[in-house]
Amino acid sequence: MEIGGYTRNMLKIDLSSGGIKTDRLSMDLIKNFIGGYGTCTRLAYDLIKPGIDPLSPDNPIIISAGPLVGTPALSTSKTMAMYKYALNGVISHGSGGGEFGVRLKWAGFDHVIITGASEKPVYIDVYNDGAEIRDASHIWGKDTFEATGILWNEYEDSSVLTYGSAGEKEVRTTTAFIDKCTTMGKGGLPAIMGSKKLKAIVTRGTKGVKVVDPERLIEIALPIIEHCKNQANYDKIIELGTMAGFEGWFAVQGASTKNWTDTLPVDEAYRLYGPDVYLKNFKYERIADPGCLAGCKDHVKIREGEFAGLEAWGSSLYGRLENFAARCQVGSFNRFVKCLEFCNRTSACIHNLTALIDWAIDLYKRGVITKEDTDGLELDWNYVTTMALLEKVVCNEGFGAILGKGFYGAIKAIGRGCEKYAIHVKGMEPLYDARVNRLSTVEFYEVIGPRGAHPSPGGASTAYMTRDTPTSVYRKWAESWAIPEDALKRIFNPPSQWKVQRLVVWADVKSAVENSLGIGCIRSRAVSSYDAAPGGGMNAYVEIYKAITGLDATASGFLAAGHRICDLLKLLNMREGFTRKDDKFPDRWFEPTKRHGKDVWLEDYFGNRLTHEDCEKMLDEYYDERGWDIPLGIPTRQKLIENGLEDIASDLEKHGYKIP
Amino acid sequence: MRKILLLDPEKCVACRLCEMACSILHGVTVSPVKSMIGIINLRKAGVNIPVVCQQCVKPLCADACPTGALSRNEETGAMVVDSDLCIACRMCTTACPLGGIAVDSEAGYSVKCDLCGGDPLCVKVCGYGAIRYLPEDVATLKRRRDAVKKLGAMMEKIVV
Repeated sequence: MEIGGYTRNMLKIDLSSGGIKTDRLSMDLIKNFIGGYGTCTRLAYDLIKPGIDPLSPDNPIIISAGPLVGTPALSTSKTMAMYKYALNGVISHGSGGGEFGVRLKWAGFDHVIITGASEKPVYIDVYNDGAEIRDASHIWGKDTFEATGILWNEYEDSSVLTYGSAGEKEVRTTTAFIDKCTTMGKGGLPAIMGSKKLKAIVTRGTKGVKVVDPERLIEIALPIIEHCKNQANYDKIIELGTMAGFEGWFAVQGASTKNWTDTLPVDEAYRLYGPDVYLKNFKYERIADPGCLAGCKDHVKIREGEFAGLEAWGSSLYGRLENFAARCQVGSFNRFVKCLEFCNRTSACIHNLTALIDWAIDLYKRGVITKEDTDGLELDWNYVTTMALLEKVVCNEGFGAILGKGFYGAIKAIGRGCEKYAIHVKGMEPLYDARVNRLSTVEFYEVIGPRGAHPSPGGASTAYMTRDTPTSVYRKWAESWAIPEDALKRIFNPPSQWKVQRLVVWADVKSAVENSLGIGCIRSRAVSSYDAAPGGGMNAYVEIYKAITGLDATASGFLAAGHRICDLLKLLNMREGFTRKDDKFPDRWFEPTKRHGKDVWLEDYFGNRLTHEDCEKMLDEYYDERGWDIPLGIPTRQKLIENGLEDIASDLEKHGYKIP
Repeated sequence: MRKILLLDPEKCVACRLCEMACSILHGVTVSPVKSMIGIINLRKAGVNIPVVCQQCVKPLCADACPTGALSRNEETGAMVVDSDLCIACRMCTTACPLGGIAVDSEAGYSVKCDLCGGDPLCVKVCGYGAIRYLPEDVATLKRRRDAVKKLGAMMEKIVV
């Protein structure tokens, strides 16, 4: 049967032997795991052996673009790469938009599986139904911009995934870039690629992706496009990109500073970094992911002042800005752009390193570490410290080599009770502070997410919301995700409120479906529009999927697949030793932070103060909603059977793992 | 009054929704070579230029065609290909100064923008206002107005 959307081709490249072959994706895998994130997770179960060294040839890189990627279904560029993280040893994914996955699909592949390691620097060129492993000696040693530029010149109409010097030095706190702009590779993909001497992957192709029922696809898409375009603030969204969310983060909520003990003053934030500053001196070009109506990526260029003429690229610019402005207090937008450019070029992960730098400065101020530890550097929250530490990290030397290991590695290396001041979950820093925004879906996800304190299981948002959003909005969202009635009753209980610990399960499942199909984040504002559009939400995904692939699908079927995927990812990490003990609220969240000079404590979404005990009870309910074992925080055998994973349960038991 | 496609590279963000939608409307495969409209992304300059047939008043494609396969649809103003007459000799593709016409070897004839019979899909899917479908006179005046706005911005810089 010829189906649309899927190419059903898996490219398998063994860098050790140089062998390249193509396998077919089974219909069983498609049926049970959809594609993208889902099929990656299933393939990872077989390909990532427990306990391997992430920087050894044993760590595979499993790339996947779901069935909707490369089609005009809206905002469908989300591409996944799964591997064992160099940062913290979890098994999870990096996700990215841009043209990388789209061109991979147009070249005729859903998956690329890279194993082994090369002796000499190479890059992979994927082109119409095949691939070549090519000599990369001319780009080894080049930074992200240089390497990308060279490969763009060699291959027009291509997309390039590459990284800079920090990856070549196998620094764990790194991320790779698609076409200079889009980050992909949380947890140190550049270090893993670097350990394989794989400098880049180029995708290009003209074979295309089949759409079974084009008229139907257009019929579904047009009203959603219209709805999106007709939003009152649509022009503002496009003009400002993610900077449209500046007010929400810096003013309504608060940007955590001084190692999560204070928040950046709002007037200072606006004066130094606000949207007016951005528009006047820095905005250069708006960049959109393929098929995305809420184009939000930035190409910035400093027009006047310090570092004038400097260019940088950024997905989620306001997030990067928050990191440097609040955590590191670099002091000006110009200096932020300089730091951004440095991280772009070297592949230093901004999320990881701004948190680690913030922590290191705090340790220094408290006297836990001294100049003897920092190679003679005096640490303070400012631009000079930030750049000095970043430079040491990307060179993998001295104190930088310690920070570059991430929280787990650095805590071990420093010792002396430094862990007390480290705000992390599973060795990864949170992005949001639950005290300033209250414990909403994204903050709760930071605690329970298998890969560490990331607010979402991929670019697709779990459910970004600012505080005081009425319950009715959540209710509308939950309904558009096709959450079954019994679960809605448990979530909205009492009906005027909602339980974050239960809703987060379904937000994760919904995101798993989106990431498997290949649907990008469409930013919160536009996501709500997508969900609110006539026929939008999960049912729109079903109809779009049917029109593209010609396969049958239902909302309940998608949600079942979503549960299956989430359960399996948890099991992959259970195999690495992660259980409930690792779903740990950061201790700092139970101390007050400061907002406008006043103490702010951790509260639930409705303003009730939360203690450690309350949070543990919420975790109990969370596992209950999952149908997982409450003391262990992992799926039960019964749940695995219900979710169609009996074979996995049996296989795990055969290998000596205890499934409750 | 005939309508024309007004393209605005400054607004284009290269999301390629027009390209992908066009390509399935004219077939079942999403591919940049199957689309009648193409976004040329000059990445180093940070400029995206939509390229599509401009339905020239004096079309070189038709002049070059040895079989008379290209003619104007009087209702929409679009130059259209008669697939029965076309022999896919590629003379039109050589003659066109824009790359606005291409041969689809699978189909066996030349393909080009037909303005979707007067209701272009690329316009409907574009969220950024980079492609508009306007009466020729309105488009002309809009272009002038846009040019003056750019000039205004430039003057401001000169004065400062």
